Amino acid sequence: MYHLDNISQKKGNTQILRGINLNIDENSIFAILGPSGSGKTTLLNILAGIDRPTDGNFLNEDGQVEKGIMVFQDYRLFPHMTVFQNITFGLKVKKAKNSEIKQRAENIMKTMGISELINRYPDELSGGQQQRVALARALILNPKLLLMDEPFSSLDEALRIEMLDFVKELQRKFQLTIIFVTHYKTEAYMLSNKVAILINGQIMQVDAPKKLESNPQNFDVAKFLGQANFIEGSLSSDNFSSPVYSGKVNVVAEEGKLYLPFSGQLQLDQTDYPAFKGNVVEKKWMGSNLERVTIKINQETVYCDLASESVSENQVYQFYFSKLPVVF
Amino acid sequence: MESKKITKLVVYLIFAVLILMPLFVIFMLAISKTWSYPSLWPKWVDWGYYFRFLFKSKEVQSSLISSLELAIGTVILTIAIAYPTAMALSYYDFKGKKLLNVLVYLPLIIPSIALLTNMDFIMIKYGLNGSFFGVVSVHTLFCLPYAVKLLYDNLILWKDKYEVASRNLGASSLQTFFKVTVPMNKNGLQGAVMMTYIVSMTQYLSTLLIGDGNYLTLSVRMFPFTTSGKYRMAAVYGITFMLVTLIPLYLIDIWVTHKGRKIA
Amino acid sequence: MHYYTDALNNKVFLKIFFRTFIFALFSAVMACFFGVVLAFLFKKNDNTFTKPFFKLAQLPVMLPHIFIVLALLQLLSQTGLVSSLLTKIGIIHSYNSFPLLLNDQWQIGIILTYLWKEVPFVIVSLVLVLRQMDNRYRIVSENLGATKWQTFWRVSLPLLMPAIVNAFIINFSFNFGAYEVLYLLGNQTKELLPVYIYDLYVQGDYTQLPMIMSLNLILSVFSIAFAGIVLWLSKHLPGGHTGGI
Repeated sequence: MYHLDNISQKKGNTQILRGINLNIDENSIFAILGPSGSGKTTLLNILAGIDRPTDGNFLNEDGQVEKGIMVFQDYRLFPHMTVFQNITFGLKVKKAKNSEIKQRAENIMKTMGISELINRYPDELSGGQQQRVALARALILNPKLLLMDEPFSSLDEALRIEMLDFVKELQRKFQLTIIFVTHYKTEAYMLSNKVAILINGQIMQVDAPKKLESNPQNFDVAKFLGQANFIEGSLSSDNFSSPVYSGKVNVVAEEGKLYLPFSGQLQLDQTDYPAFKGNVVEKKWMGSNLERVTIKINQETVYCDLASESVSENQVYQFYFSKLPVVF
Repeated sequence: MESKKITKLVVYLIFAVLILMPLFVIFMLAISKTWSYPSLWPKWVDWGYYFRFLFKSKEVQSSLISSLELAIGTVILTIAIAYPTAMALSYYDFKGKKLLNVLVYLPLIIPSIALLTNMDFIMIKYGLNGSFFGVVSVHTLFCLPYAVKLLYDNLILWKDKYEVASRNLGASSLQTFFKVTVPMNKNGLQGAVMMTYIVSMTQYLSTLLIGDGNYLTLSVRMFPFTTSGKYRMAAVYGITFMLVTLIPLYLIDIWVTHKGRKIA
Repeated sequence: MHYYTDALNNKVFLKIFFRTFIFALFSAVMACFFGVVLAFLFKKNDNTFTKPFFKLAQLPVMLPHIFIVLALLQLLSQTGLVSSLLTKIGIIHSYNSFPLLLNDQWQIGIILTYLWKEVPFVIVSLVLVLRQMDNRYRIVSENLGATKWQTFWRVSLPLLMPAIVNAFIINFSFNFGAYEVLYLLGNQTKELLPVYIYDLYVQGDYTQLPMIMSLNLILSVFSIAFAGIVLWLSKHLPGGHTGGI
């Protein structure tokens, strides 16, 4: 278990991180998800020992400071070194034996599938190849903790999914702890079962992806995760009134915004919580048996994801909430 | 940590003394009389002497004008050649690009004495020796490498991305050049103009040899005074040189850095 | 054509040529060495000295060589200020015992002049590259376990090499071919090439002209070849590929 103990970072007059507390399991992948400017990279730099926090500690199970090896967003392969020289850099500076260096480099390049690139320079590699070299350069050091900054943001769609699977496989193979930061929630959800939401220098919530989507802890998290309708209305004790829905709600914060995520909250099957009657005006294919349905209720527009062919356009339906809706 | 700071302070102070001491000596030479062995300080110092001399002496004034004439002519000719060259080198791929790249730097690599004696011979052959154009074109030769390099480094940052956008929106090539290329690359242009001005102002042998003595600029006039031991006169020209190089360049620098947003 | 073979058989020319080459090489190497050390010492942006340091470094680049020559004459000649100071405090008795530093056999005055101009030139040309590099690669290197020294030798210096090599070539070529400083501070018994050529050109009559032209051509070809070799070496020795940084 790694412990982030009350880590704060201040640069000049800006408080970038505010008392971050996290426990991260060893031998797992942990995602830190947040919008740009939320302090993700700053936090990662602290875990890598590149920056020192103004306050707090990052400790491993034995209460020792341990620095992770970083794979940078832009990979930062040394431009004046070949792939081989890049990969063996960490071992060379540790003055490892040449025979050992060669052996380990061969193994890691085989694992990463980059053996044929050995004598190329970074400016002769594609983005995906550069990432593999950057990973090899870090993994050859047998780190216990690997840090990745926006690891897949500069790869195209197909390559991204391939690399996601590859990183999962590497984690299992090397028994690594991987902490990575990203601002793409799908990336975080696909790679990790435990995601921390970092907004404005604070950890807002740590949960499994499904839990995050269904139960965001506050408005900021809900808003960042997106894929939801926020209905303006007024609140008196636990009664909400708006053109779309009026009735009982579960009040989390008193900003008066009804939170209706696109998926999971609205349905056609009857429940104890009738929502509204609405006219389906448009359907969009969302892949794998899903449609995003545009519903009009009293001039207001609400979106929701339903199973394909469960509604038809220009028809009015009665919708239900799967559970008591939340107001932030 | 502290000892490192002290080391840096000491190195910095030594560096500052080494750079500024010569300038201080020249400054003192220009405003003092009888400053020779074994006195450590001039016998008397007259602060007004330099300025009275500057306003009275026809020679100082005429060499100041020569210097500025040549420098301005060189800046115009250099930029006129360097800008298209730098644009071609940074925007396009063409046959002979490598050769052009090497050619531009040749004036810095070929020994200047060889270049100058040959140029002088050529100028005499074409009757250009002693002419304004002759001197300016030799100055330009020495300025081009710096100007092209400074412009190129700036232009290569964006290549012609924004020019393409500008022309696509209906601007003519000329409009694009003046409304997009020049404003976006004003740092490079400023650097090139400044460097050209400096290099032209500091030229000695090229001005003297090609100019046939018709252009006695400030730096040319410093030589005979220095060799004949009239250090005070040499210093007077030196101070005038500093007045017309360092101060305007410093002002331009402040003006440009404080005006408008910096691009990149 | 026989001018070329004449030149290459001319003992005086060859001796002067060799002397000038060693002199130019030595001055250029010294300038690059001090320039690189100083640029690295003051490269960090959070350092209080950095800004005034680079402003100071720009000064000598903007002034002609005659400035420093004039100051050196006033400071370091046998009847100069340093000599006066040493006499005052009693280290030497008269100016005769002050060592000859200008117009001397070892070209000390000329080397000092060139260093005053060229060390700042090296600094100024490295600043831009150093700024572009900022800390990107230093951070990677240290994260992978390198010490400060290892980072300097294996990462920062190689990345800076192209800029250093360029500055070196410019300085070397200047030292090899410039006339004015040698004319002011040179030693007549240890003549250097530019003075030799200039005297031939100015004093010689037109019959000498082809000979001078062929000497010029030899020197030009030599300089270009030397620059080419230095560039080639810097590109093809280990670590020479920089991917345009």
